[in-house]
Amino acid sequence: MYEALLRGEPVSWGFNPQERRVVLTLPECFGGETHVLCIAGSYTFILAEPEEAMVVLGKTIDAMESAPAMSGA
Amino acid sequence: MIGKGILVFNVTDLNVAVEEGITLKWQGREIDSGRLTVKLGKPGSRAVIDYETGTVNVEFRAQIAFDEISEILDELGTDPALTAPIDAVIRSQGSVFEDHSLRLAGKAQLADHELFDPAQTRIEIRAPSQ
Repeated sequence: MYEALLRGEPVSWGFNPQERRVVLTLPECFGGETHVLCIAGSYTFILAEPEEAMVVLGKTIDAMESAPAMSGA
Repeated sequence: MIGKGILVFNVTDLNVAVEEGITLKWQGREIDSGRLTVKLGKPGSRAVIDYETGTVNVEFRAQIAFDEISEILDELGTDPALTAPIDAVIRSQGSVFEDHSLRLAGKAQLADHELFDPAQTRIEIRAPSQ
């Protein structure tokens, strides 16, 4: 799968349709209840172009640098 | 840990359904929502996998729709703003394993919507059990 991603091929991951993974809390106008739901389906990744990847990684680094320092407590 | 560096991916497809639907309590009535679907919405859905640390961060720019009930309400001439899909950004993070399976968990941040007040509506994605 890693090699396929490196080659620029789309790779998909599926959800187990038997597993309750989504917790949805409705607004008050619909009763405000919380439901725990199964999801079926998939999502697909494809390797970004190098220029695009650099922009994304640059933003990630900027966000890390501008985040407040963690205390040691 | 896999140890192969950091890679950036575009999320090119998201096709998810909650077939069972949910019960909506509306003005004293209980309404079956029917199928709920989640698909890619605005552009910019991306993932970053850090193979050194074995971590994954994904941002899905999604649209959540109550297809069946929206179709019925649209036919009844309801204001389209009420039945419009909900724009959401789902931020998930987790681990990547040797077999390249991903273990993701996250939360959705909803945009303004006529019916689904983002301050009251919460969507959380739990990590898979395996």
